[in-house]
Amino acid sequence: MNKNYLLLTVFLLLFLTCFSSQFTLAQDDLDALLDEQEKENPKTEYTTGAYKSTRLINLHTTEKVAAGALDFRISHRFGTLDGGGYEFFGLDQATLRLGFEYGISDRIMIGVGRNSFQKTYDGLFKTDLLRQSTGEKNMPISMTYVGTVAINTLKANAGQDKTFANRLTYTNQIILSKKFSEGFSFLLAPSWVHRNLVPTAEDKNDLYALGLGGRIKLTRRTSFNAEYVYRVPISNSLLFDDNHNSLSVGFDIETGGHVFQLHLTNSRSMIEKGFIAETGGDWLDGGIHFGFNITREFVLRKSKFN
Amino acid sequence: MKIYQSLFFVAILFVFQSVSSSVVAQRYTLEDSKVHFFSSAPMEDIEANNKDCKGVIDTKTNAFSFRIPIKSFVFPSSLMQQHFNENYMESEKYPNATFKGNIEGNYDLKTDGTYDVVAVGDLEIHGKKQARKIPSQIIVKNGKASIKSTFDVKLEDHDVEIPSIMFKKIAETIKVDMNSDLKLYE
Repeated sequence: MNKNYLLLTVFLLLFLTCFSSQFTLAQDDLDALLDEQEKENPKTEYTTGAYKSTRLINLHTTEKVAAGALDFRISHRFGTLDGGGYEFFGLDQATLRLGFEYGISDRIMIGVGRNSFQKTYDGLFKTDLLRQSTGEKNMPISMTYVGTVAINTLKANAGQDKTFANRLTYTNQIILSKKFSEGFSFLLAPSWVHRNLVPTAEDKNDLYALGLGGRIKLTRRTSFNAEYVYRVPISNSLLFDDNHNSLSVGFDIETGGHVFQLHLTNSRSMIEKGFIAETGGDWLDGGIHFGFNITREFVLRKSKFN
Repeated sequence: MKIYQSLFFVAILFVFQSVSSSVVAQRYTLEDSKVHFFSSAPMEDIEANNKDCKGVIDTKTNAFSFRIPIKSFVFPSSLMQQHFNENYMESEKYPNATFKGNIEGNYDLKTDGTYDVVAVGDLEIHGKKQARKIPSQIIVKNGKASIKSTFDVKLEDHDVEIPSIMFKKIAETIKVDMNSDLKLYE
């Protein structure tokens, strides 16, 4: 009798514990349910902030000015360091570019600028073709198109045929970029420069080049950048041989509305056709310019907000 | 006699079983949730909306878990949105804000009425947890339940840094409104 009671009580306890386990739904279950919901409704997450700015140094990145924002960009390249103390290590001369860039939408940006190097006006158009993303749409890389037109407005020397058309240079670029991690992004930029007028018959109007570059984030607001532009050789071309491949290293410092970019580069020009095709400085021979870009963003247009 | 007694116990067991299986867990998930935050600053007010908040409440145990994807906050200016994610919230590193804990107070999702409750738990933003007691309201109207709440978040509680060289000064405290329907989860 007692034994039976005992048995039954044990049974009872066993059963009860079985049932009561239903009541103790732990927090983990709730989290698991949320995980499940997330899996059921996958979102596409676009990678942001692969670079601090629309330029790495000279090369465009895949970043664009935000929709409705206007970016005022001041770029300087000083003279070469090999001028020595007399030239104050190049600081006595400066080439300057002033530019305004505007985000028409999240995918399209336009810009205008003027470069004191060869008194050049430039216009640019930049748009996303692919955006790196994870989640529902998985895209390993970003791909951005950059097109620029440059107008050289230097006065024509005697005997030069400087019609308006002859002053134009076009560049087309595809920027392929991947943000590998929070701290490291890398890009490739196949480029095509078309010059409407070149000095001699041997110089080709078209120049092809491959830019490559990357950034390493040092802190949340600073990064180290480097870039190199390889030009596909043109044989017997003085214009080609007199110039070099562009190589630049620098730092980005971001302070909210501003981005400061400080760098060393062998290019004086700050637009595509210039630094790709007309880089005069030679790193091995002191032809290095100190330079900086400063940008300030203004919000011009806010989207409707409910 | 003994057999009767055992049978009797078995019967009791059956009763228990039927009772306990009828009280299955009741879980409600958030539907059509809206999270909005507002911060008044000298230069300009900063506000954002988020419609991707997910959450679940277990009415049996009163446990709850909410999750807000930081990248889903939509700002009137995409530049602000960029800075919010990149500089302040570090969304790549800390993709979600979470709030987990228990609901204290009486409420009944089957009976129309307004129930004042307190959500007690850990609020984690920017990877930093804070124990919070957040007064909330559960409202049941025509059999439909919803939950709403308004609370403040101090940026320093969650190690959200405001750089000293900021052009725009940002308020130290932001006001958060949350409003969501509750739907029985099957």
